[in-house]
Amino acid sequence: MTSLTHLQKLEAESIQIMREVVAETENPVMLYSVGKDSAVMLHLARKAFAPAPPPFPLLHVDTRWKFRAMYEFRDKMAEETGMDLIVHINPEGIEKDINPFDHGSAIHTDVMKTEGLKQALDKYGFDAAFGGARRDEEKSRAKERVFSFRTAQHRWDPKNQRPELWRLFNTRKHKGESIRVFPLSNWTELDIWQYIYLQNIPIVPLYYSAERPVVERDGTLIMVDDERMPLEPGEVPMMRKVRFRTLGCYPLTGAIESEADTLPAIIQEMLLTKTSERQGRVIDNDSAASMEKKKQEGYF
Amino acid sequence: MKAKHLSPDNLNERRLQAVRLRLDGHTVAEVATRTGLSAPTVSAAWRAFREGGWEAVPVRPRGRKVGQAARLDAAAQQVLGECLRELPESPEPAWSSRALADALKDAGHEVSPRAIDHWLEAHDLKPEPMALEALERKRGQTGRWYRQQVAPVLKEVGKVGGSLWQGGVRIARPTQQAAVEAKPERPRYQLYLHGKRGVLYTRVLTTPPMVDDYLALFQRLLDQAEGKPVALVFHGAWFQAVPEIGRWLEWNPSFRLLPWPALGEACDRR
Amino acid sequence: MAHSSDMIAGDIEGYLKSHEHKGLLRFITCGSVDDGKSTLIGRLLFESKLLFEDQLAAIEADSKKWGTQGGEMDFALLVDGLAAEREQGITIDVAYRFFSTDKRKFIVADTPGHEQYTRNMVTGASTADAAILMVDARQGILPQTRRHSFLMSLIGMRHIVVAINKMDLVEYSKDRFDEIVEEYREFAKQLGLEDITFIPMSALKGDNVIEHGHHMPWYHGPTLMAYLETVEVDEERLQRQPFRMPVQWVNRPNLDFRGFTGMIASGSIKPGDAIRVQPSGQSSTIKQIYTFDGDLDEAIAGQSVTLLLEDEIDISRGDVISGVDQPAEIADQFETSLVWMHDEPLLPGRPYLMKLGTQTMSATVTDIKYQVNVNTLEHTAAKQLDLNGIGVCTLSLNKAVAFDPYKENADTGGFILIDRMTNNTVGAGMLHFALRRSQNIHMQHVDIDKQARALSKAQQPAVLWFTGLSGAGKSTIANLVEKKLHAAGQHTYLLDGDNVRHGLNRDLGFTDADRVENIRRVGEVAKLMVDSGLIVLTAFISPFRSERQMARDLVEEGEFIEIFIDTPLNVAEDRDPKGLYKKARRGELKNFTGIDSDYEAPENPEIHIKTTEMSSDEAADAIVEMLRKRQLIS
Repeated sequence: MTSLTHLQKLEAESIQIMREVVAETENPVMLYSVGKDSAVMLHLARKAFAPAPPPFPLLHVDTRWKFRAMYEFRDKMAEETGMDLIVHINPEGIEKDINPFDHGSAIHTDVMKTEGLKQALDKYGFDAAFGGARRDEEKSRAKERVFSFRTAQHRWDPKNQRPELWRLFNTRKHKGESIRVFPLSNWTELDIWQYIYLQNIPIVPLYYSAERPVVERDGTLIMVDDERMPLEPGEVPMMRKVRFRTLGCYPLTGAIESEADTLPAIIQEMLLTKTSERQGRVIDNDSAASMEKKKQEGYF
Repeated sequence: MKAKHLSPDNLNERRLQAVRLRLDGHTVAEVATRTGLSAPTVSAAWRAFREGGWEAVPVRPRGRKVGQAARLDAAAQQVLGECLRELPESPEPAWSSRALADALKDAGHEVSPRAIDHWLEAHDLKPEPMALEALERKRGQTGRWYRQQVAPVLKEVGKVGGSLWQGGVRIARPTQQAAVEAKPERPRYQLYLHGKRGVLYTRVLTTPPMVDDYLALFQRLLDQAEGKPVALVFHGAWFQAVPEIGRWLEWNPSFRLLPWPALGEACDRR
Repeated sequence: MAHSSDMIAGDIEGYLKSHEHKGLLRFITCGSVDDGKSTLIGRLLFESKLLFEDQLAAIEADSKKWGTQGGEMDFALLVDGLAAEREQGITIDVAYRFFSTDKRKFIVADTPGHEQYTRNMVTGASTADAAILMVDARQGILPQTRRHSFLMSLIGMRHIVVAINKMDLVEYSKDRFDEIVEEYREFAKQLGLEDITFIPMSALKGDNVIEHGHHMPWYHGPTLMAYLETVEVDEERLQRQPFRMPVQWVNRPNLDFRGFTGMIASGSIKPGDAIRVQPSGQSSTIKQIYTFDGDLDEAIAGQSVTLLLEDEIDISRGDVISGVDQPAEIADQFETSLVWMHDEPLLPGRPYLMKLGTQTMSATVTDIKYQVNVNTLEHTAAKQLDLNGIGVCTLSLNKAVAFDPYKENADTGGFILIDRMTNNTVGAGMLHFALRRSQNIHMQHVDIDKQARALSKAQQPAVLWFTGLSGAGKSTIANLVEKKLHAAGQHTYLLDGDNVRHGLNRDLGFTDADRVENIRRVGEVAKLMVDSGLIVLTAFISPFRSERQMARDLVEEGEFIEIFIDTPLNVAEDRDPKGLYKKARRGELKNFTGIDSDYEAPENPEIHIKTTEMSSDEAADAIVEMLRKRQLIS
């Protein structure tokens, strides 16, 4: 008798979920954030539908403030997988030039990410959207379902989510309603890294340590990724050996000083480190309950 | 055999011999070869003799724990810290150990440049010069950068007798023991330069250096060169983002700034 | 214990290598608020060093604010989730936690012990390989312990650990432990639970959780962690079962590739193996087991694969691919256990959607044999199942399906029921056995069919389903329509309250359950009449959408014409031809539609008549005109 390893089981489970969505929904899409979780999710999708490319497009809800390396990587992956890539930027955000510096991280995230995502889902009529969120990311996520139902207004009602038994997912919904599907629900950060390592999955180079220009803001290292980053009068960015544990908008994503420039070194650093992954996200410095609020507003 | 690994007796014997050879009229380089000491050590022994006679030539017993710099009491350390934050009064681009010793002396603290070196070392403030020549044969982006961007400029500046410098900006990370001693512990941003013979000039700030700090450094290097060109290989700052630096360089074409390149992001690192 | 830091620091590649081969175990913890369940999970997480400093700092801060351990680190706070719940101090829902050791990764389903949350415990247990039942050593076996044990037996839990916790509070007494073990064994026998392990422990102090400790030298069994690291994973058992793979999705990127994708539910498969497709019964041979990473020589239960067959046979989602020697059974009527999970009760006769494996069909509970009282395990009669109710029922499907008894295979024997209107998951069930084998009851082949009968009458059979409030004018208008159709030479029949309630349905009252049954019977009769070629008119309030949908589903597409006789409540109440509204208002009539029972108006009726805008005769004309337009009559 052979027995499956934990990664083989997680992989099989994620693939089963993806096939279920494709079989039972009309117009699915994969939310592609360009991060490492998205990389794993995309890889699993390719496995699920091979030899065909995954039968749905990738949707990147862009804020215009992602790292340049992320844009390059995104376009490269879309080409490599043969999938359609839809990039949506909230036009209202462009018009009002919403940015993290003048409007603060909360408004920027709300307009560009939360609203942008709703617009894109409405515009293309997607009724199911794969997301890369995991239950181990945050305490309030521990109870999130794999299939998370949203009203026609994209609201998440914590009281009205369906029980999930065995491998049976009830995908039925009324017109206008949509589902967020999280095929990586049962993966941990370590599982993700280990799988990337084993399967040779390409990830954005920003996860690896390298000398990068950074400035300090409130004790956080922010990378000067392009000329839009406002410098203090007389400020000169320093080159420091840093990497990112999580990727988002560059002005909102803290770098950590690190020497880890290989996958084993990254995993090693993660296992020995003392702070959880989301520490690097500037938007999270609110209370623990803030994540839940974001969820209700449709952030995920 | 390198002087570092000699016993104190053996070392002091060679230092005394080095002074004798100097008195006999040999150059520093010759003495260095004959005694097996490094050129700076020969110079240091010679200087010690001229300043304090034969008595001053032998070094004190070594083996102190790192961080317990001799005779650097709290008050002296404070003066040291204050000095390092500012530009030296002399026209030197930043502080050498010697200049720091002089400044401490003026403030009433008798401390040798050696002790200051030890203190700097213990606080991770003594970076080694970059082995630039080794890049000549190195493959990859850094080697290419050196061969294409740096070497020709160094050659050109050297040919007309200009001065060649290297330096950078970094964050000092003292050993834990030293950190306990040097309270309050804040990040130390170190500007450093290495001149011809690897002599260290430095400033240590509590916040990242600003444009003015860099420009002051550049200006002093230029002033010192007395009309000759200056080449500076510099690591650790992202000058591209700062227009003031560009303007200053445009105004001062004889100053050749060679910033260490930001290496492109290689996608696959396996 | 868990991640050896030395190895991580010294030889990360070696560490990764050794962790590639870890297994995965899912387990559930059951217990009440006070018996230390959260403390135990918190400790497992803590000891496996999967907590980060910022998380710990948050918990320490929380311990001061919410903690119950007098300022000491309260492990329980690690596992509380949503903000609102935290304030209530109890968990409501299923939370999943993760930790891992050198041997296995663990997924813990954490469920509350509170009585009304049967549904959560069943949900959490449905995917678990093992269950930890928490018992407070001071309290012993409580009604709650029995309840949880019953649920575990219901869901077919194969491995159970009874963790007798808080041994520190009974002086680590062996006698107390033995006493509880004895009592539990006695009780477990009734339930048929087999593999039970008893571990005396103190989650708070750590005894027998990870290490044995030295307080209980008399205990020689495994620690909880040692047990969890070695207990058999259910998938290993499933590999020994016959081959089953419900087809999820047919992958057909080009004419040369036709792959049947799915997760293998049980058994194993190799190229060259003979298979049977069920329920159709066609046979073929496995040509290739395709994966992204290359073809496989063998695939086993738990893997998601793509199978290619030697022969071109028609297979679609919902079919089951089985080993040819031991195929699944096929049936359309079952005895089943059912756990109700919604506020809206289960009504026998109401059609629900049923999802079993990858197939979805219509299912009706035809009979609740009995309901089980989770506290006493008594069987009681029931006409409906309420939220968290558990019953043994007979279930009838609209088509025959391939299945295995749940106790053999959860993937081909476990199902959910979905409400057709709200789309909620309302129940979960476990198939026991088929009530009769469908292969034996092939539909009687008849030479004279509906088409033939309709032809002889030169008409299009149909159901004209009139719905509306009492007093809306349904019967009046239906009568007029029938007259007009008759005059036009059509063969019709009108079913209404008067000719049905007094005969066929005279055993039914006016509760929701009876109303559902009333309409079900009317629907079935109408179907037979349509089959005989008639145009059937029905005039019933038929207040619930789902029953009207059921009646619609009984006949073919286009044969069901829903006619909404739309009269506002105040108008109907003013008319009150039978004086019923007055009675209802006086409280003499219970469950009267519009007064104390809902009327769910049709959303998309084929014909919508507003009686405030026209006379009954005009309405009848309008309806006949519309039927003409639909070419139902000429």
